[in-house]
Amino acid sequence: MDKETLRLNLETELKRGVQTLAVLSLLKDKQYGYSLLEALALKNMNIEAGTLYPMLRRLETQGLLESSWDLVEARPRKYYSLSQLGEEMLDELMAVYKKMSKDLALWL
Amino acid sequence: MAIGGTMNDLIERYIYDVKRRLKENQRSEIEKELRMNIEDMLNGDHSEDNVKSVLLSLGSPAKLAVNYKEPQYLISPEMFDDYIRVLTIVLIVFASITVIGGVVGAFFSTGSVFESILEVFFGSLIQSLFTGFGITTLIFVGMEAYQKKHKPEFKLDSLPKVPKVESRKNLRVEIIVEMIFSIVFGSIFVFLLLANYGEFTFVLDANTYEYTGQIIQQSVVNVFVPVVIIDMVLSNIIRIIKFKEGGYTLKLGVAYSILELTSLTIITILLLQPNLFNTGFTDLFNQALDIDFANTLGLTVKGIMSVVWIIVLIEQVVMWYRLIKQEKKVI
Repeated sequence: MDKETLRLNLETELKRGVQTLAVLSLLKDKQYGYSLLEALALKNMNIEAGTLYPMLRRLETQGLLESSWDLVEARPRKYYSLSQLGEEMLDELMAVYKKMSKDLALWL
Repeated sequence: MAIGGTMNDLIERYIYDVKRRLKENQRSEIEKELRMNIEDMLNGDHSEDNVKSVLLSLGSPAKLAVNYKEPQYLISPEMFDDYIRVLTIVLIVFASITVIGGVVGAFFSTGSVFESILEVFFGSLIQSLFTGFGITTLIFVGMEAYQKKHKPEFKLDSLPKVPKVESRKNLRVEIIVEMIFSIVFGSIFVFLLLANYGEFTFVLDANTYEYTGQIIQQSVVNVFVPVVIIDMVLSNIIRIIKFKEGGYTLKLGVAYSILELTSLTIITILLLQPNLFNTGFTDLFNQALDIDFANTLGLTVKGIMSVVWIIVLIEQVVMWYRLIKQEKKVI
């Protein structure tokens, strides 16, 4: 494995945990898959489409997200948003994340 | 239009390739969602370049489908190393036995040596390798399924003891291999005993000799089968305890010696009975070959039993030598 691939792998590994946090926090307002992908990219949180779409389904199965199909527009779209459990989990995860980055900032 | 058609075809093929890898009950929902996402990503531009770049950015269908699923495996990564080790040993031994059996068989075969070699390599060898592979895999899949179902909690008590005798061999692998062979050969033996039936036809000097029926006396089989089964079960229980203990303890050594020597004694007494084989069966060979076949067979059985006794006694001596050495070390 060359140095660049290794770095990319480590970076992906490092970002993986935070991705869920970012997705949950952007889903306080309902979004469909592609709009969420773009919103994440705008915030420099580039997640591959092939990773994000399955992740949304997984989070929904875990009860953190709710979804509904909007059939009114020309193209049907599936919108995702935080469930009650998702909101609670997001608050708790945010607290963990903030404490962790504060602690790490002290010595990293 | 032609280009549009081809591009839609590409999208359909992509979706199909993802869909066919998913569980039946997930397919329609994921298909709908994926179609929507692709359309959104295309943003109305169905040109060849755009379709290609969107599909490429989604990555390979196989990888995408995997992301939709819970990880699945028959043998977990934790067990995989042991699986490969056991499999290697089992395959090597199965192959050796088949080749040796084939060479011996070739001597008695009526065909040419070349035919016999072909038969061993393309018939028996492949078959026995698949059998070994199948049995080993089934045992591990069974262990995996058991663990998945019962999710045994990790307990410090269940940690195996450090092997008493330092060895490069992996005790767990060694014991699983021993168990596989004991079960396979024990079962074959019991099966043969239960079948206990043969059809022999000889044509010698224009005379036809025929025998159809039991080979071994039923009364012997009736005692033999339970002895073999009990020995198989008990020796495997001892192996499991041996694994938990990290090797033989004094008590376990005594139990193993008693079991081995008792079952071997019973088997020897049974096999040395003068009426072991059905008289009809021995008479056929007596007449056909004009020899005292019962006597020859008796000598062969005695010969085989002597070899078995020598092997078992050597095994016992080695085991006790190690056990005594290890006990002295402890003291």
